Amino acid sequence: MNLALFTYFIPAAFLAVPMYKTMGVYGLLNSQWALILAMTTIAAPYSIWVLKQASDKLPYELDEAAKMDGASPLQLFRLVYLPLMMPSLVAIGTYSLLLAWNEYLYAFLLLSNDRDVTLGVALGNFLAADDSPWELLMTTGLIYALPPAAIYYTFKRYMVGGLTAGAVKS
Amino acid sequence: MATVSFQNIEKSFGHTKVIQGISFDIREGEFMVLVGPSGCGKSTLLRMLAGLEEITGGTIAIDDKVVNDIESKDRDIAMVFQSYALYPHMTVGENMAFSLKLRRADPKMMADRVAHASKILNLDPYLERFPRELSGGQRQRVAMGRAIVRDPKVFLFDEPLSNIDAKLRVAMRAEIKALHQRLKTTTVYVTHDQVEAMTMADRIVVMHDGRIEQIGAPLELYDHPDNLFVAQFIGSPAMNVMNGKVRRDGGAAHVEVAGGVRWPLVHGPGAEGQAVAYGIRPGDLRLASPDAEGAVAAEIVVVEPTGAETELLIQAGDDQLILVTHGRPKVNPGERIGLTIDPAKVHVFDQGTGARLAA
Repeated sequence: MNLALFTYFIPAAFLAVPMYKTMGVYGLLNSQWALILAMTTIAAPYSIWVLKQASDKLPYELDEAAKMDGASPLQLFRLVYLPLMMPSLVAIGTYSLLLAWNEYLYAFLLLSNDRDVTLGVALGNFLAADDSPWELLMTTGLIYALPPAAIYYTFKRYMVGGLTAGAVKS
Repeated sequence: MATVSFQNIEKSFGHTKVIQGISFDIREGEFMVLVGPSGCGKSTLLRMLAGLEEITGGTIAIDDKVVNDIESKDRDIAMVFQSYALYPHMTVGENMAFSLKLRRADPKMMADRVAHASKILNLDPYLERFPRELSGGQRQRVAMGRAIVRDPKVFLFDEPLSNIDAKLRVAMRAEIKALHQRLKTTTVYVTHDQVEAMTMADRIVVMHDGRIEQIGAPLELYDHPDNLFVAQFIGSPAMNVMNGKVRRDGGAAHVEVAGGVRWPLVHGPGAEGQAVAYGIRPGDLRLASPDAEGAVAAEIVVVEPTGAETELLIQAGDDQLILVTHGRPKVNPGERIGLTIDPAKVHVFDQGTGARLAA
């Protein structure tokens, strides 16, 4: 389990070339799917680790209680576990989203079509011009910063734990 | 209401056999308590009845219908867990209604049942609260409410009071008993606390090492324990037990224990010279003056007044005994006293097998 976290010891830049080659093999270059898959791969180990930690804390008795109450495995998952995992799900969702939102290297590498590039890369492109349009850069930068702030603010209450308090005697 | 029947139940975890062929019946509407030290298999037995544990051998029947291969949810039983196991993201009302909701019960009936249960358990003011906002006792009541709304054939309780502080435990004990008297649902209750067993049960099953030591009404177990284990397990403080040999030579029969003390024997169980365990309940020992006739010489070691009762730790020969008296005897540590007993209240067991010797 913790081995998955070791993948973070390998710098993203180091994986950029293999990732590029892999996407090339699958014919995904210049497709938004390439970036989506790459970012999912990068976010997965940490997300799995967080979910594992959170699900380990769910008391086993809830499983048995729900079974006795007549819940099928699917109902158990949907009605008991999913709501209890919500804070962790929101947390890793936010983490993955912001990670992808801020990504530059892979987005720059995997998408080269002007219409496909992400906002982060586009911002960089402003600087690549001989005469940088600073007013455009600043405005776009401000707009670029708004969604993460909004997302964080919206899901703030989920970020705090303690939803499982009161289930079993601790 | 239902009957429950265990027939030759066995349970193994890997190569370890934890339940060794247990058979007994629970009558309709009975409050049956399974009691024993930890690891005796009582919880496993309950979990097999609940359907949370596979049955290795034998059959369990509810209302004469074998349930071995029936899923928990179709056995029509409800269970209260030691840790309450409330759904933390649901309110008290939702917790109680959950099982009915899963069965797609009629909303009107669902509301009625929850209202009924919350009234019985005085949970009305808390229906909208979450478990985390309740005290331990209230949470345990919600757990019971969850069982009540289902109106099951059998209630199962798995050490429901172990997580509650001592004072509340006594109150909840009475509450559960009152609840049973009101609903008259067949109940199986597991505990390691013999006081809980004694106070609540219609009948008690005393278990030890995966076997049944004795089944009977609380006072029956107290007055006529079948063996040394039951004698020492039931009753608080525990029975005083001294090892000695039966002597019948000349004069009254008695048991001579280490240190040369002679304890009287009236009905005369046991053969001459037989090694026996001589048991006497702390409440059956009487204080007397040291030179009273037939009294055993002893010395007070510790005096523990608790108000209504006084507990005395007494040294008699090589043995230390506990005496409980309702009075407030004026004795001091180190004082020489005499002990008398009613020989009819003596319990004599074989030292080797632990079996009670016919009196």
